[in-house]
This record gives sequence, structure tokens and C-alpha cells, in this order.
Amino acid sequence: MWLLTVTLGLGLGTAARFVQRGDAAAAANAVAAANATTASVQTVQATSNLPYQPQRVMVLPQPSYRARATTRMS
Amino acid sequence: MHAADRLQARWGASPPAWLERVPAGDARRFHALGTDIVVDGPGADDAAAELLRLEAILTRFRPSPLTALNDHGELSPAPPELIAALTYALSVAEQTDGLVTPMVLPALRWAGYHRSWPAAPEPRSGEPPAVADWRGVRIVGHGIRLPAGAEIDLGGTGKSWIAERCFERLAGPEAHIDAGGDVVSRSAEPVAIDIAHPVGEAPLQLVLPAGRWGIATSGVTGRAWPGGHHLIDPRTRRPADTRFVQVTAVHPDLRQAEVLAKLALLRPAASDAFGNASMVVAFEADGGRWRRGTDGRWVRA
Repeated sequence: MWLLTVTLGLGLGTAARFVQRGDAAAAANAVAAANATTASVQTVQATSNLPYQPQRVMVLPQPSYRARATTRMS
Repeated sequence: MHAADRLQARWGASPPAWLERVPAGDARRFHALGTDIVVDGPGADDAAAELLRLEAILTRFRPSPLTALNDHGELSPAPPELIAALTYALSVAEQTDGLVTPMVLPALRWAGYHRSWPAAPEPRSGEPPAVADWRGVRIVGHGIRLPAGAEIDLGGTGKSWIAERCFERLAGPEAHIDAGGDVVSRSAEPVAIDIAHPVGEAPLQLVLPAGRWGIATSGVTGRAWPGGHHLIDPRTRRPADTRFVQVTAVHPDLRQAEVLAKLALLRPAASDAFGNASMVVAFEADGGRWRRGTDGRWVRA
């Protein structure tokens, strides 16, 4: 249990430093590396008619840095 | 009891206090499409003007070419924008086997949704009216003809269509439209988008890589009233009784994200329709959070 706690703490601490630098991708990666169960990661594939490459989209269990917008029911 | 009612019974009817975050810069903020709009990026004035112009053509809440079509059952010549938006909505109906259809307006009125939200709902008694077959709509040249008794509501499909179209007016690597929670974003850097919790608990956060993304959220606890809400299930002609109370879909194209969110509400088992070009996050009425996995199954998020 303590090992899990330390691992989480290290990961989230690293994430916090990235957040302070405004490095969103690094912060998200750090959170994911710290505890894969707290962040859901999914690769979104390119579609045939759009010039997008497969991308990693992540869902964090709580906001980790400044959001550009909030999506909600309207 | 509908899922939305179960949720209200548990959490109370008071709306959640959303944690608003708006982008910095010279964003344009205004009310349109029945919601609050944010347009941000070079060309924002042009995009905002286009949005208002399209709303004036496609709204059902004040006299417009769409209401003229609904009143008379046909319109010729119809504005090309109405033809294009309706053509798109019919393609969505085909894509979803009629589950996401623009033909539910009579049933929506029966359920109580007559006027622009948040007007007081006015539900009617008796059986809900029929939902016309979308395949009966005829678009020939510059004219549109509806099946007998049919009326059109472009709803969320129309809103996402408008937002995507206006987004094309925005230049530069950083651009953004928030149409009441339906978001189109382009950025050279990773972007965070919060997903508001349906009952006001702490939000989740999406982390999107650099690029262009559409994020759509739909649910049954917004624009809802005791015994009803705005999402009509065309199979029952009544407000949908759903497993999820809120769904957020991510896709490079907001229009597809909107369809996927609606489809996840109306038919969450239809995983094949989602493909791998999207990510979908859903909330149940008891607060359970789910994500559609790459294998098409729903997993805890």
C-alpha cells in the first residue's frame, strides 16, 4: 500500500511541476504513468476522409490544469 | 420512472453550479441557438455573424424559413443553407437507422418542449403523435416537401452543423468555438476540456493532443422537467428512458461527436457504430462513469 501511495505521490508531484510549466501533455503523461487506473487513455484512430493520425485522448479523474472550455449539457 | 427523474429524486432539482472557464483573448461571447456561445480566434467576428445568420434560417423558435417549411409542409425556393442542413440531418438519420432523426418535433411538443428554453414546459395528455419517416422528405432542386403531418427540428444535429460551418471562418493555429458545451477546438498545443458532472460534482478532464477536435455532450437532465426531457426516442415517441444521463463524445468532427453522443444515449449497445474514431465518456444516474473501450465494450472510467 505504501508503495502505491509513494508511486502515486511521485507521479502526481511530477505532474504538478509540469502543470506549473504549462506543459499539458507532460502533465497528463505523468499522471498516467503514476497510476494507470486514475486516467483512461484511448487511441482515437484517423478516419478515412480526414487527415488525422491516431491520437491518444485521455480522461483524467479531476482537472489537472487550466481548461480551455467546459463541455456540458446545454 | 425515467433515469432523469431518478437522478432528480436523488440529487434534487436545483441546477449544478458549473465551474465556468472561458478562454483568454478576444473571444466573442453571445447568446444564440438557445445557449451561450463563445467564438475565439482570428476571424471571430465573421464566424459569429455567420452563426447568427444561420440561426435565423434554421431556428424553430421564431419565424424563419424552417418554420415556413413546417407551417406549409413545403418550401420552394428554400435557402441553400436549409437544404444543406436538412440534407445533413437526413444523412444522420440514415447513418443511425432513424434513431437520430429531425422528424421528432411533434413528439417533442407533445412532451412539452414548445418554446425556446428555458420556457416553462407544456406537456400534453394522450398518446404522442407519430414520428414521420425521414425517408419521406423530398428535396428536389431548390424545393423541400415534407410528408403529411411532418415537422422538422434540427436540434443538436443542426447546432453541430452550424458550429462546424462557422469554425471554418476562423483562421490561425489557435481557434475555438463553444456552442453551449459543444466544442470545436484547433490548437498547436495539447488542450484540456473539462467534462461537467451532470449533477455538479467535480468534473472530469479530457486531455486532447494538438490538432482539431470536436467535443459534444448530450444528456437527459438538461432541458428536462418533471416527467420529461428534450431527447425523444423515435421508437417510443416519448422522452427517452436511457441507461446514461450524460454522454460526451470526442471526434475530429463535432458533427460526428454529436451523433455519437446521441446514439450512446439512445442505443448504448450499438458499439459497432462508434468505430475507433472517437472516445465516448458516459455518466449513469447513480454517478457511475463509463468509457467506451477500443473493443466496443463499456468500461469504468
